[in-house]
Amino acid sequence: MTENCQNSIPSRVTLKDLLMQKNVPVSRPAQDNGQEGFNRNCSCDQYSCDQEIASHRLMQITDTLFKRGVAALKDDRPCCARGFFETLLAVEPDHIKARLNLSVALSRMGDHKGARTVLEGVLVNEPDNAIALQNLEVLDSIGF
Amino acid sequence: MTRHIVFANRKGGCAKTTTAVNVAHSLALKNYRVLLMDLDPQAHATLSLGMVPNPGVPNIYTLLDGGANLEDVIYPSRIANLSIIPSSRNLSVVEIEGPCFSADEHRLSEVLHSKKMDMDYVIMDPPPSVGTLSVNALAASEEVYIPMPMHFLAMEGLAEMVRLIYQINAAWNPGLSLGGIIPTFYNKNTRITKEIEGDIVQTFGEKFLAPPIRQNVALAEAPGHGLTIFEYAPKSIGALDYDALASFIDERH
Ligand SMILES: Nc1ncnc2c1ncn2[C@@H]1O[C@H](COP(=O)(O)OP(=O)(O)OP(=O)(O)O)[C@@H](O)[C@H]1O
Ligand SMILES: [Mg+2]
Repeated sequence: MTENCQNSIPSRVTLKDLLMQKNVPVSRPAQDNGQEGFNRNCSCDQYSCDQEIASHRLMQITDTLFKRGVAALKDDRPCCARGFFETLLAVEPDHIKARLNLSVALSRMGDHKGARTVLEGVLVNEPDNAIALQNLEVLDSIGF
Repeated sequence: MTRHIVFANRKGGCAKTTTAVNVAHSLALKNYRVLLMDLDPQAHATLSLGMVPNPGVPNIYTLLDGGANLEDVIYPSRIANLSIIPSSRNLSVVEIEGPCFSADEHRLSEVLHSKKMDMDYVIMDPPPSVGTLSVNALAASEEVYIPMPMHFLAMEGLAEMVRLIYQINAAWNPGLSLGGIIPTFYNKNTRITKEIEGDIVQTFGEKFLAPPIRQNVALAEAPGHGLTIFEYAPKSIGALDYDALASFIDERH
């Protein structure tokens, strides 16, 4: 009976499918080399896999920090937002959106001068950046 | 060397607290010095050891708030070798207020790792949500074990947890490793159980499948008496399973 039921059920979603859907690297831990750590599981003789995980992690860290920074700004916690954006920029200094948001956080904390410096830095990379130009205008209008 | 272990799953009711409390007691019975840390505002681990959560005495909240030192918040339990940092309702403030700086996720880690502890195991019981308290616990641990019932939706939660481990690795704690997945409310006769176990072995390897904890009514009854399974029903299936799990964790290192 049970056998028949099993045969009629369409193929199921596996754990591997779920991990792949979530963009989580799927890799089996090293078995025989004593390296059991989950986060270390590609460090033995699979350099390319290691690289892949490293870049995946980097993407996640920037993504996580950026989202948390934005949430903190929306939540009116500019000091937290500043922390998140500064940490993000330590990892990825050219992240323009993080720099723009950092300037907003600084400005909300009363550091208009710092905000201006960050915005001017954005214009060095992207002279036509509309948001940077617009925000500088705002700072001009309030005398900073 | 103290081992810092967290039983985590963002899904509620998957036996995190039951596992933390009973593994802690089992390790204490094996003569290890164990500190159980209740990080959940529900204070279920505190209650399970027969203690009354009291916001008026120094507890985990006071510790995270900077209002007390580690030694002020560690209380002996009535069980030999087992101490506890209790929780109380006021812990929820930390969760609601959230961090005021990104470094706050490290608060617990800093406190725990700032001085050498006279403990073999620190076992953490976080709340089900992924908030400041859970992130603090994961950031302060080297090993995470994921208790999960053998259901499809729980497997979805497991995938989320694995993603969270990578995020914690990247953002806060590169030293955090998956210790294992613990099948809870286990019934070996169902097809889904076999399939999910197979998936876990195929994806992570056999070593990451911890011994299961079978459905056992004594496990559900014990906390109501403020007792662990080893006090309430030492000969039950629950006690047997948690003893096996504690041995697995102990030998895992
Ligand atoms: N193996 C088991 N057999 C029967 N009941 C169990 C078993 N394990 C846990 N329980 C019961 O299931 C319920 C949920 O368990 P527990 O409180 O440990 O989950 P939790 O993951 O800590 O929940 P929360 O997410 O709310 O913190 C409790 O009533 C507990 O006593
Ligand atoms: Mg719990």
